[in-house]
Amino acid sequence: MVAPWMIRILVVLVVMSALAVSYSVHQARRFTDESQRLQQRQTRLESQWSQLLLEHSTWGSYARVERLAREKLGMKLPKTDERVLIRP
Amino acid sequence: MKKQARKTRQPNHPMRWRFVLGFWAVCACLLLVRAVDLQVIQHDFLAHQGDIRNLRVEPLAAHRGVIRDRAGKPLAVSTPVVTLWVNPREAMEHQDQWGRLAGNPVIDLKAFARKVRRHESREFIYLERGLAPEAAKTVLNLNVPGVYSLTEYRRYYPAGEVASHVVGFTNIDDQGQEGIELSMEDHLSGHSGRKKVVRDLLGRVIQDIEVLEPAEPGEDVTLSIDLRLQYLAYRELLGAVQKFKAKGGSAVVLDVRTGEVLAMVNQPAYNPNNRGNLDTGALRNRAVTDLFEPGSTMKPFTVAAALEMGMVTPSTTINTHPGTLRVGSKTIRDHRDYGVIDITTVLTKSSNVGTSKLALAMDPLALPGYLERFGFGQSTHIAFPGESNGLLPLRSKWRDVERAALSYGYGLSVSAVQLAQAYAVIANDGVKVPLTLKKVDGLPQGEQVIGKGTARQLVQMLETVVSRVGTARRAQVPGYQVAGKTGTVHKVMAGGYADDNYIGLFAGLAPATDPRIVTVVVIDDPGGDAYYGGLVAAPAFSNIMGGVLRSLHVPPDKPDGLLAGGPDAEDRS
Repeated sequence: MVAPWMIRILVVLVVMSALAVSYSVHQARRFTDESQRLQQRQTRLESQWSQLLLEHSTWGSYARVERLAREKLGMKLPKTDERVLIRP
Repeated sequence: MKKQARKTRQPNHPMRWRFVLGFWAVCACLLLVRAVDLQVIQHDFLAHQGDIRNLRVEPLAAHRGVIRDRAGKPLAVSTPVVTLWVNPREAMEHQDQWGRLAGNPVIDLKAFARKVRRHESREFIYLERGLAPEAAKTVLNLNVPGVYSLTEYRRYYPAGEVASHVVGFTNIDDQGQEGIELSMEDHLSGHSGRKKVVRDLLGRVIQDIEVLEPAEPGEDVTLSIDLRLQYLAYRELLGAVQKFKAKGGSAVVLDVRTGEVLAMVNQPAYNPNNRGNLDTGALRNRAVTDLFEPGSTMKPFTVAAALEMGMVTPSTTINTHPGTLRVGSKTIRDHRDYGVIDITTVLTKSSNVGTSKLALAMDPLALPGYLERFGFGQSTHIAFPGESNGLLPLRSKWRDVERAALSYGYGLSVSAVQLAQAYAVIANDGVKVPLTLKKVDGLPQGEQVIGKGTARQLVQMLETVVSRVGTARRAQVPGYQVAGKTGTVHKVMAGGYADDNYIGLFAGLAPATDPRIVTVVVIDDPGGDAYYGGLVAAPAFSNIMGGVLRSLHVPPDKPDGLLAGGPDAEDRS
């Protein structure tokens, strides 16, 4: 026969573990939800990154840089007789 | 307290007591029965139904790898786009709500109605594919019943036309169709995975059950192409093709030591981002797929064979008088009678008679054998879809006229990359390095196909071609010693050689003292009066080569004209 005090302790333990189970399930759901949101954020950031990459390479395309250098900044390639070669 | 409690427990109304007890007992029994029913008898059915409602298999997106140039600049990037689709059956039940689409900038209400009605018995039709996420949102926010979205990836090509032929493109389902996109499909394409999740009433994922199939994103590919040089070559080739009203053209720039293709451009080109009205002729990467007879650009290889066999030295003289040579029924002609000239001058002046005499003096199988060593008639192994191997006829019996024609580049056909590879052998001290479109680390293992001495002699002889007396003064690059060879060939049309359709060629290397770069320029069917390779292809070669050498910081080896200074030079003015 089990002593009554042991039963009481067991009952308390059972109740505590029941509470712990529901708490951890709740936590698990919260974390899953958070990981989902973070994954969505990752996808969003990735797509943003690829769009920025495209934008960057569009603005920085050699054709555009060359046109701006020539037309806006008045730059040109030095002619042969304008170059000086320095021997190291 | 105890007494009172006992008092209240006294069964004053035994019937009532029993009734209540019985009632609760029956309730408990019913509950028990129901519980057994649900938990034991119907358990499988109910669990299954629950799973159907909550368990979902979600795709795990995996996007296609990025194609980059050797410096890491993107050439092809996948970016997520939203595809809208409709369940017409569902949409038909809520026709009253279609009005919300009125005035939407993305989806036209009338077109929507027409599309849905036409397919009203179906459950899935595409509404609009590949929309920018913001544009799709304007439609999705209207919450029209039956309209759904799914995320796909679309490929963008930041370099556009400049790298179109090399990079290729994918179709709407993200599968490679041309170029590297096709040849490296296995590397680039990702494998989307699947996972099982539990969703709650609001559609939020509340539990990850298991990953059924992990997503494998595509790998990035780094090409040997240098976008700076690619752009430079594109610009110069386009300029030359327009200036000489040519039908097309190609240019190939090789790194001599590593066999890397630094630039490969063609005209006509296309914009891979907008292929709406595409001319299929523009799709071809002509530098790799199109064959032509190499004409005079083949002469250095005839001379190489003669040098290798010890038949001649660069100063051996040969009599080309009277400027014509009758072989069988055919007369081979030079531009004019060059008289008695040395082998170097045969190349300088591009004498057909000279090379024919050399070829006829060789064993009939010797010349084709040497040409094969340079890679003619074989794949370059750059693994490009649609690559042509070229045609080097390997006969057992050669007629004299065929041997003579081979010596000045007729009777075989090559692609621009093959020609570039062969010149790279000369430039690389006779070592043939496998060509590649992928960036290589370190020096690849080459194969010595002609002697180092022969290769050096050839480079020196080819320097004279771009000198004042040669056929390609316009190929000179200020500051650098260039060596190369022009070529002008009659195009083969239906029924034989065309009278006034030509291909102008220039193949060359620089700096001649320590060759680093080989460039080949092909101008197809120039429409104006100028058609000689020395006139149409050489200037483009000079511009491309000059730009490439400058961009790669190759020190000038012929600083005449540049004021050579230094820390101790004071007379710089």
